[in-house]
Amino acid sequence: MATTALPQRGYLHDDTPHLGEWIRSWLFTVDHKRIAILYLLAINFFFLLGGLAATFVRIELITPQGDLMSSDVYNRMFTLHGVIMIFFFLIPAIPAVLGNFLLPLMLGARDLAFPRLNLLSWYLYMFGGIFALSAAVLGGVDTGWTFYTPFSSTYSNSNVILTITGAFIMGFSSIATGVNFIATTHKMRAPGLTWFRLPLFVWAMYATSLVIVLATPVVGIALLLVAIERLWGVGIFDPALGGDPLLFQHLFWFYSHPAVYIMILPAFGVISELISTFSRKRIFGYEFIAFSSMAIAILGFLVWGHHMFVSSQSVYSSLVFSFITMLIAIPSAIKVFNWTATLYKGSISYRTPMLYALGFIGLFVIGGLTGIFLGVVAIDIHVTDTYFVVAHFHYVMVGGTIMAYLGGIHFWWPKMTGRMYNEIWGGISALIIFVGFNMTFFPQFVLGYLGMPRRYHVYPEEFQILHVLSSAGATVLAVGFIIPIIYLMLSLKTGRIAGDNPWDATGLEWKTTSPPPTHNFEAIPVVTTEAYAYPPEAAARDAAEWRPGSPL
Amino acid sequence: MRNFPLFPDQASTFAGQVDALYWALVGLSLLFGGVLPFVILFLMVRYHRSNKAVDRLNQVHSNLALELTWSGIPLLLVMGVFFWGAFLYVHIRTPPKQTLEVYVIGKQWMWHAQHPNGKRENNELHVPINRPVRLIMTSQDVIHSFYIPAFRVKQDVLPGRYTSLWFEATQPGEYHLFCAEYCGTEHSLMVGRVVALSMADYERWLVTPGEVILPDGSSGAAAAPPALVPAAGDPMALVGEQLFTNLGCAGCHRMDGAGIGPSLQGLYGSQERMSDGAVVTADENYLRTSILNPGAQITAGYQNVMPSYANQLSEDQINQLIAYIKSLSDGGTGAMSGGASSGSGATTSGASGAATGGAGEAPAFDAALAAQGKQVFTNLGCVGCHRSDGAGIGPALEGLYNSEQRLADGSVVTADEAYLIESIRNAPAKIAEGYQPVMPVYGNQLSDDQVRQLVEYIKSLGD
Repeated sequence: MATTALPQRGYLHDDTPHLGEWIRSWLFTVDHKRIAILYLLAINFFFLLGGLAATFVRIELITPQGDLMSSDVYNRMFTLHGVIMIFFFLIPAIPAVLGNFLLPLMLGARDLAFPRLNLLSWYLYMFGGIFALSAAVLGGVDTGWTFYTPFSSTYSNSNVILTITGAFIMGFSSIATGVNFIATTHKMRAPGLTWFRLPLFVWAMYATSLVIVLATPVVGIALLLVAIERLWGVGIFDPALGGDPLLFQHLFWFYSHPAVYIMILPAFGVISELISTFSRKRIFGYEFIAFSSMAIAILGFLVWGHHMFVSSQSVYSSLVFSFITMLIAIPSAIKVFNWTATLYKGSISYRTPMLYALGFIGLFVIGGLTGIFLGVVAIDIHVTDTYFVVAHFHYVMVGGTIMAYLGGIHFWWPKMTGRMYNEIWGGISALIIFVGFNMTFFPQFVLGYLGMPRRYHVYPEEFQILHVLSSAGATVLAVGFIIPIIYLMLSLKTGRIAGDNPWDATGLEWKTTSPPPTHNFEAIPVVTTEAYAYPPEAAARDAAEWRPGSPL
Repeated sequence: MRNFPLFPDQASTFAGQVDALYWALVGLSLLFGGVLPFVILFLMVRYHRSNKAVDRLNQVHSNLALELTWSGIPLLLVMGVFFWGAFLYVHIRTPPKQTLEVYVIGKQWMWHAQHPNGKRENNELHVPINRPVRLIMTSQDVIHSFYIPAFRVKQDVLPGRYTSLWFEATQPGEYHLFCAEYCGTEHSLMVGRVVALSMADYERWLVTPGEVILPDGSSGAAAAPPALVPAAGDPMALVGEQLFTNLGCAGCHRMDGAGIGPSLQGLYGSQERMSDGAVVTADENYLRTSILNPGAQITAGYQNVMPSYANQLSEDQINQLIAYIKSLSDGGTGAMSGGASSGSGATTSGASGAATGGAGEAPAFDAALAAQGKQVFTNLGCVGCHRSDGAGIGPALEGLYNSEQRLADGSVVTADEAYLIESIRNAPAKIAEGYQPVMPVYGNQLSDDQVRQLVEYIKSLGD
């Protein structure tokens, strides 16, 4: 029953009665699972903060006039929303929370390769977050999350340096995590766990880590140069000082385009796990999904120029970047088709994580296809820097990454906490999020093609109806995000004890107790099968055993 | 539906072409994005665990043919889309030979445009229909972006260089003009309207009086309202020519090619060979760089002697100079300016020779420094204006030292060392009677040593 005690040896368990020692046992832990929980709390805090800023933006946009706040406040709001959501939520969300918790478990390892580095990465994250927050508290920053020069380096009268410092420090947190994951994946796999027996989530984490390690230093350099120009007037980006404003855009997007894949590749990994588990069969085209992650990681470095089609880049560079952008659509399409094919002849259940996964596919398809619109230069000229772009990247990042993040949180919640969440509320909130999301962002495609520029505090009256629709959708979306917070918290006290493997899933993380002991496994497991070793008759048996009243 | 549009106006020749590609992509997207969700829904329902009636055995877990099919078909489709889009893009970026050129300056938070006949406007752009229009744009501060949704055109406007876009409006009417690149506090107020007119109406508008704010007239402080000036003025090329003369450019850039700077006749649009062997097209950006940073690209056969005009010219004035230089390549329009600057007589080699010979009764001066000063004098291009025969646009310097000079304000000063130094560093402070304040301010561009050398050289020319 609800009051039944969890296993005493779980990583969450403490036998010290002293509060001080309990706090120390968390803040100085080197256990990857506890660090994942620390990340979970911090990242969700930043998500709520970023969401709050978005709320103010959407309320302001209900009317064409600027009536709720001044232009300066509005500009600080959307910048806060962007900086927090990108740097402090989307980039670390899945790797730092789910990746941290699951990578060693999935590899059959006792911890990550460098546990202390892992703890350091959390402190760097918090340190960077404090800088960014202090910038917001001390008056905000109004450059947009893109920090375009020379506005950011010379003209802006806001806390650019503090914010940049925050993002800069946070970058080192990412790099530390990336290095840790790469080393762990190479060196800490359990006996018998060959590369092609790895869960696709591990492949996705590995590809993400490579991108993090290779790309993040570049944005660090770019932000540092902005700070140098701003502080000491060294001419790097401002033409008035002899600099080149486009240089910043090249450096920035050389990181920030791959950063899009830092956000979405982990989501692909989560979805592969969910689709397979809740179809009760092997994933279709394992190798194609694994290699498409690597293809995306590599091609992702060669498309940064598609953010600069109207920046005065030469016609030939634009054509090359457009061509490679078209190519990168293919590995994404391969994944979607393979997930769909996995459903065929499966035994599909509509548990909450699966609803998120199916919702993910629908939204990601729209996000991906509109990415092709933007990759075609002739159309991009019209829609870039409009709400079309805003809608596109929210479909990819919210519709993609956040759906996968929530799906993953629900899926592994029993493993992380040892308890089940409320399935009914789970399903309801997943549907609310799906509907609210589409209401919020689909009208923005129409707005964008009409020509509504992004980052506009006041706008022409004919756009109002679509903006109101979008803001109404955002309200629904907000409700959808708040419900899970409530029932997940409640589940910690009242949730049903989950047991080791509530989903009947494959994967080493389900072979240990829930929550796992501090060192994960009683004995290091030996792997003899591939990742999704469902017996051929698993789906048929699952359907045969279903009775009215069993979970859908 | 007027107040609730779902699709933008089509008001340029590009609009229909871009929209055709857009609808083709919408169609292709529906093929995938419209069908795939229904396939997923079908599978979700058919293979739901409660449905015991379906066969779940003999599962397939990979199929190479299937993988290649669903990789290959999308690949072919996106390649088709890419090439369609690429040809359209090249078309959008290639202006026709004959265009109406309008100069646009963006600044926080205002658009300023000047038409070839000199007519100016703020936050509006009047253009004729059925005539290709090319905008030559630059920014005074941060990056802006010039966006006309109804025309399907957008181009970032950068500080420190020109970008351009072209379009041909097809429907008379008023359309939104937006700044699309975030540029600070009032980004969303950096909007205006584009007014497309018939040719006759446009020509009528061009001579309509009005008032505008100059782009460099209202910077920063919101305390005082910016001054208004008449919108109509002299043609840009004519104002540019006056600037060209007043700045003394004509002394070196002689139209007959005999000056110490290259002739500008027919320069715009031509291929120029540089001293490092590179060949560049003399477009607006080349001309701009050559005015502001002349040392960056030196035409083959010439010396790096031109002073930099950076920070001495407004964006507006640079536009006018460039309009003038471009008019020298359009055949007829350039001819009117040739005579004005070429009547100044002797060649520059003669001038430097006379300078040497004129040092008859020289006062005490440091010969070594004076020799170096002569070199500086030549390198800076001073000789182009301060001609020894007195026919230059600057006064002759022979016998200047320690003489009594009558200034433009009527006062008389002794041309001592202090006077020479001040005249070099800050020429407009004391203008010799009968001359214009056209000499560039050399300020801190010269070291104390160089000024010393110049002064010794001038002293060597006698008193």
